[in-house]
Amino acid sequence: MIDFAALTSAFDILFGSWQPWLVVLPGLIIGLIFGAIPGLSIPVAMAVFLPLTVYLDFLPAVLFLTAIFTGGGFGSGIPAILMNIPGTASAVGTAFDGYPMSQQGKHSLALGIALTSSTVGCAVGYIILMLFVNSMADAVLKLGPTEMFLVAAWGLTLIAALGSNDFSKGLIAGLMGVLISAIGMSGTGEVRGTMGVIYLLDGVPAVPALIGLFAASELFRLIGHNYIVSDEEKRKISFRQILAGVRATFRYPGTLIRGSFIGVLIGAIPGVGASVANLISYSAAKRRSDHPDRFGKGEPGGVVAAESANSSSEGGSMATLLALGLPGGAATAVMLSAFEMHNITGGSRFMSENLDIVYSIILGNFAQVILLFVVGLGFVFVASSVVRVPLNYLIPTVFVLAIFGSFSLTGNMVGPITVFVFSLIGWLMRRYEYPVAAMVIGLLLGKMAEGELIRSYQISGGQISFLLQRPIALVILALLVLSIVLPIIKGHRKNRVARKAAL
Amino acid sequence: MGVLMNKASTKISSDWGHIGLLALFILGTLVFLYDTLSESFRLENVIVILPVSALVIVLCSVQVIRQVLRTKSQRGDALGPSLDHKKIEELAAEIAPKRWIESVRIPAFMVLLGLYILGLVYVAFDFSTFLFLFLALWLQGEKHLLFGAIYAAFLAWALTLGLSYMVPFPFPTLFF
Repeated sequence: MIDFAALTSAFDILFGSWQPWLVVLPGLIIGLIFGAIPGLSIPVAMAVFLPLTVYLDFLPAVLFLTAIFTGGGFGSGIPAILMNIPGTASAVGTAFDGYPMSQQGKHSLALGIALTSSTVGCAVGYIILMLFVNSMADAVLKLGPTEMFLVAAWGLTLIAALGSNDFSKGLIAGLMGVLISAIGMSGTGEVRGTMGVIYLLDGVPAVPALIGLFAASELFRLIGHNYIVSDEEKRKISFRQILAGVRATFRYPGTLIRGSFIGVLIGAIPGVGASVANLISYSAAKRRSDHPDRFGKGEPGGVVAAESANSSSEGGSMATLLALGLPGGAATAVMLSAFEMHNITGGSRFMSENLDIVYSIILGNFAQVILLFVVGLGFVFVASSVVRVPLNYLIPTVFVLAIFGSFSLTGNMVGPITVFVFSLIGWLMRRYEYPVAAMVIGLLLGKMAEGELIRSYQISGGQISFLLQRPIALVILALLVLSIVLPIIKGHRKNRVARKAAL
Repeated sequence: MGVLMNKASTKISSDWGHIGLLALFILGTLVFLYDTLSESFRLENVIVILPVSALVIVLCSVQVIRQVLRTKSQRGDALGPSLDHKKIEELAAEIAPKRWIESVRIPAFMVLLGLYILGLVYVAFDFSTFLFLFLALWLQGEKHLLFGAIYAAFLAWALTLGLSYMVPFPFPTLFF
């Protein structure tokens, strides 16, 4: 599993020079800032700073980019907790319970939990990467469109969990999201729902839509209030509470470890990544909890589940990048560009010939994780002062940041217009109690689910028996069915016991 | 009295705003479905869209029927069935200012946001941003408008400058 000679060599490479360490701290801070500003995603940060890596050696260049990746992974959870605005799609699950905690004046606690969960998740991700990098790569190669479709379908089942008050409203919102995601040119070349607008050929940009749905529905609702947290006493920023959050995380060991494992496994699948991992982990935590009714109302376990999964997915996506040379998402695609700029091609040959470098990257990331915890403590302390900013100023400022961020993502006015349109839809949905998160999930996973389903259909020729030849697909299908059926059985049993007790 | 209460509670009291949203969903789905089917009837084209659209239309229609047939008592359930008139009046007085904010400020803010997006296209990023920030502060009842103007100008300048360094594509500016 571990080549100890290469590991020793990795230690020599890392500790033989100060250069690799010099870039880690700036990388983390850049990642934290870009992740924390809605619309400025991690890939944007990495792309902006990519040219700088030309002047660095390969190892410092990769460590710099992974530091941005690591910092951004946690940073995106900060606005999700403080303002109900996920910095990126990977922090959608964090907002479900993080923001209700903030409204209850537990923002410092929630940030402490998020930071610790992220740190532990990221560390677990890299430990698994170090132990199983080769076997993970082999497993990824065995995944086809059928498995990918089932993973997307698994993520979509969270829609059911979100529409707990009125299931049909959750379903309507989720399915509308799936339809909106299908706008534009399909994988088979058909143009649908664009109404002749050429800007929609690439589809509705997911991140600006997400910002519009989440941010605006919340910001519009906040108009007329003075502060996010109405009680002045609860608005205080407490370092003690942040540390209490650190301790509180370890009261959910099962959720933490399960979330970390889900993150690595889902993160390793190209094209899926953290945006699905946090939802599946959240969904699993809610289903397994003894108090599922507390989720969505400020349950710390929800924050632990989402943050541990989105951070550990970094380790998974690095496995596919290093062992197969395949980028799992936009962030690893930028990293692949850095590989190319240094004339390095990821893959099995790179792994066998440069295992010491691979171990150096992994070990360097362990150090990053520790540093993230230290830097993160200071960063969340400063960031949590957002709750003390009067909403008169905060609301227009966040709107402007979101508009600028969406423009930087799309490169044209499609981003800002998308934010505006979805802000109105989000506000209306919230007004009539439709879960905006369900629409976001549909929007994020719909296109992927459709593409993979079509590919599966084409490969199988429409034969259901094809599924029997795919053992991994069968396992995922079994997990998917169990995750839907078990809570129903559990609820049924609970009701029966309650009825018996009443008699 | 009991009969009167009963009559009032069974009177139809539809939420037309909610029905409007559902109508928007149904209309959007029908237009999208029409556009998809006019493109092609190939299975690959409709494999997801057709079943999902059908489900959306059915679910929304059921919701519309529920909303149309909703009685006053169902509408009042949210407030609690056992509230007396005095308490209802007290509650109404309490939420009246919030209602005013919702009915005036929020739509005004939405219009302002829409005008801001138009301003980005037809005027300039820096000036539109300044104007949006300043007017948004005024709309929300900011008393220190001079400080607000300085804040709006500084933020508009800083963000426009930051964006110009960050993105490789051009965007219109008036001052910076």
